[in-house]
Amino acid sequence: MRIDGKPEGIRQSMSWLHTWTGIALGWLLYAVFFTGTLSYFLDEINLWMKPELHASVSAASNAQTAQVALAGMQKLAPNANVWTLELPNERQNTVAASWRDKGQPMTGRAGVKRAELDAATGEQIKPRETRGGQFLYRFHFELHSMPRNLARWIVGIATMFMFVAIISGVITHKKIFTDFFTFRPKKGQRSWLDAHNATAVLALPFHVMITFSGLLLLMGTLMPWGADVAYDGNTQAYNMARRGLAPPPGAQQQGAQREGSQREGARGDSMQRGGATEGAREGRGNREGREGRGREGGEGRGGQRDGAALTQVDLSAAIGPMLAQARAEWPQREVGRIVVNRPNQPGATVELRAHGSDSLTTRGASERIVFDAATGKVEERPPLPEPSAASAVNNVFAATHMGRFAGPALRWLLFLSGVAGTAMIATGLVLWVVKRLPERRKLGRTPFGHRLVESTNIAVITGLALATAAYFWLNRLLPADLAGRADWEINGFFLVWLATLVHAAVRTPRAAWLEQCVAVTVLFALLPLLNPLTGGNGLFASIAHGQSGLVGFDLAMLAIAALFAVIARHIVRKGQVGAKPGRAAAGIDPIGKALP
Amino acid sequence: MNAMIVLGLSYLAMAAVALSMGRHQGQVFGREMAASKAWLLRIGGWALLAVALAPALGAWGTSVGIVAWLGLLTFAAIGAGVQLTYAARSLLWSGPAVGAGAALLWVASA
Amino acid sequence: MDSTLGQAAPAPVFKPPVLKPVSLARYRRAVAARSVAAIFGGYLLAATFAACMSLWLQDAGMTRMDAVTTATIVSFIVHACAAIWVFATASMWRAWAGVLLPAALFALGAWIGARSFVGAA
Repeated sequence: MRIDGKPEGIRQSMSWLHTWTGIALGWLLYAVFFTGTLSYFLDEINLWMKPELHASVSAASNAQTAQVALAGMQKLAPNANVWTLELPNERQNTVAASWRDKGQPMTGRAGVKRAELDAATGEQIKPRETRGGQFLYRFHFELHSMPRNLARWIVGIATMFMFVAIISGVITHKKIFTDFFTFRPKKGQRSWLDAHNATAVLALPFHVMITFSGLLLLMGTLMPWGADVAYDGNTQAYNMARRGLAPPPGAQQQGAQREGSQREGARGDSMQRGGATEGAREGRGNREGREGRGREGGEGRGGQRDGAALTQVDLSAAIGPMLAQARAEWPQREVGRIVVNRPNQPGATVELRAHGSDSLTTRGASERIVFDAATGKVEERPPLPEPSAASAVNNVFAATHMGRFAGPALRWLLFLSGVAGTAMIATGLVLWVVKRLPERRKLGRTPFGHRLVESTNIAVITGLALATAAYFWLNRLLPADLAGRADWEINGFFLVWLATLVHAAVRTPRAAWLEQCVAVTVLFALLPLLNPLTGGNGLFASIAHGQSGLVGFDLAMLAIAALFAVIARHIVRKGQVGAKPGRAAAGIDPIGKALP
Repeated sequence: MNAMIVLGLSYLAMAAVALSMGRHQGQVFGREMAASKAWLLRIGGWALLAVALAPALGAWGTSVGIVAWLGLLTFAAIGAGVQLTYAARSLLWSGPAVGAGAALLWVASA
Repeated sequence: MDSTLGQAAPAPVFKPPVLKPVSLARYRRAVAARSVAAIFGGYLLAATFAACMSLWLQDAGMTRMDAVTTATIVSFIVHACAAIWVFATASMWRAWAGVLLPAALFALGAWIGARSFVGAA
């Protein structure tokens, strides 16, 4: 939009729109991207922040682990209606167990108890109280200490701003193909623009996908009106239908799928697997039937002692042949999850679920086999859901956004694309400041708005990284038995973040950038050292035991340290940006760096 | 390994598309190329990008394959872009070498 | 010439103070008005679209769930397009009309649809 109100071409208007949708919520979007990118390694972060779990080393085969885990569950939860065991995989090295005791609600998050079991012995390990990676993941779309719906609205609005920023950015980028491979370092504002363009255009498919799918994932909050009108106000019925579940009267059924998962389910919006249509309810119906039996399992308990003892022995022994059967039917996949319905009761069943899946259209629903626990015979193989086209589209977007299906290669691709997106936002924020340097020189001073943006840029771009480092450091420095330590880790995160804002406000921009970059470098570089010193498996131990999650975490910390070291070095070398080579800039000294 | 195949083919494709543009021809050859040759490079590059989809589909199925292909394209482009910025001439041999290696891998694994 | 982010690239708050204040105020009002149109008008358009199409797509043969899913997914695109339209179009009147008129139509469509097939499966 022009200040003189004259009409302008579409590239100009889109340039204006891109700049302002970008800067308005750019800081929030940076934080969302930053925490979201980290969340691709949610399991690894969770693991690293619970060093008590590092000692758990998987036995040679799933069969052994399953046996000891089932024995462990018998000690831990003999009176449960359902056990769920997530077996160790490349991202977690313990058995994540959860269960619902008799008399507890069979659905929803209440009534679920969780424990981590050692993979070799099946014994429960009690890690320190921490929110772990879950805090960063939740922050990504629900921020912190504000009502959930409000946070989702804020993040949702920011996402729509981002979506419009992407579209307007593409429209205004006249030479999008010609400049596709163009990067000109050491040319001040030109280089910043090139870096912004490069990170934006080269990963454009990812950015479009991640932003649009972000909107879809929040659709229950942001755009419930379709469901509201079509279902006569009962939007819950729509959510149920989308998950392929029959709406039971009242209670929201989260189903056995959610148990054992380390991630908390989201209310309302569907964050879980299974976008089956109403048509594929047969499989669901069977599962509901089993859960229904579980619900009634409280009766008929008397005189089951002998039966209970028999069933218990059978489980640990019977699981072997069941796993062998699964291996025969799924040559490409391991067993990922074991669900035992009504353990120690007649009619107990064991469901094995494959680890991973072939398709995003089902949001990563996996193959399953259900065995009768007593006889070991296959009871059924629930069919994979066959979603309709509309559901498939929704599922593909959601699954690609969350990347839960992704193997290590694809996970790294998503992560690096997220880094590109984070860099895109960072370079955009810096570009906003850099573009206005000539005006500042002409004015002879820095307007308050400029200073505000410049300082906040620092507090967000480097400050958030520093706060994250502090979060990891506090995880190890705070005593393991300190009451409320989980909250203190999070408080520390926010306190450090606030401190970086104060720091950026009182120091000159160049000093602030440099000092914060150095701090980030040092803190991240020392994390792999802090790790074994505070009870975790250091690099050598984790490599030796093949704990790739821990290895990856330590290496990633070093990579982040290296990145910020490079940035710091550029600041030391250069000093100004936006100035033509050889021209001094009066008293304005922002960062000068070139990104690859 | 399939990721390497897709990545390698895409990398050669990106190099071809890049070299079909005058600006990058200047970076690599020091002068511009004949228009017809440049056009051939461009068509060939785009075609090879499409071809790179095939091993992705074969290895991972439709939905995951398309997502993986798009993701790998990004990093092929980044690789070519960084090379053009800092070591443009090396693209002349690295492009065909990596591409040929990927093609060999593909043939060997089929 | 180098900047590909548009030729005019206005940054009005930072231009030297040669402006007549009334221009600046008028500019800010215009920005505010278009922002309201894009954000709230656009949302209204998207919501009425979702409501209307969730019903009318059923009439076209989709199941109720699929109609809602499709309509909702597309409604986000509608909102984004509305925002682009509001800022790309020449006059303020066109900006508002382009958003409110279709919204009124979709609202009407949703009302008609609700009366015709409420609770259609």
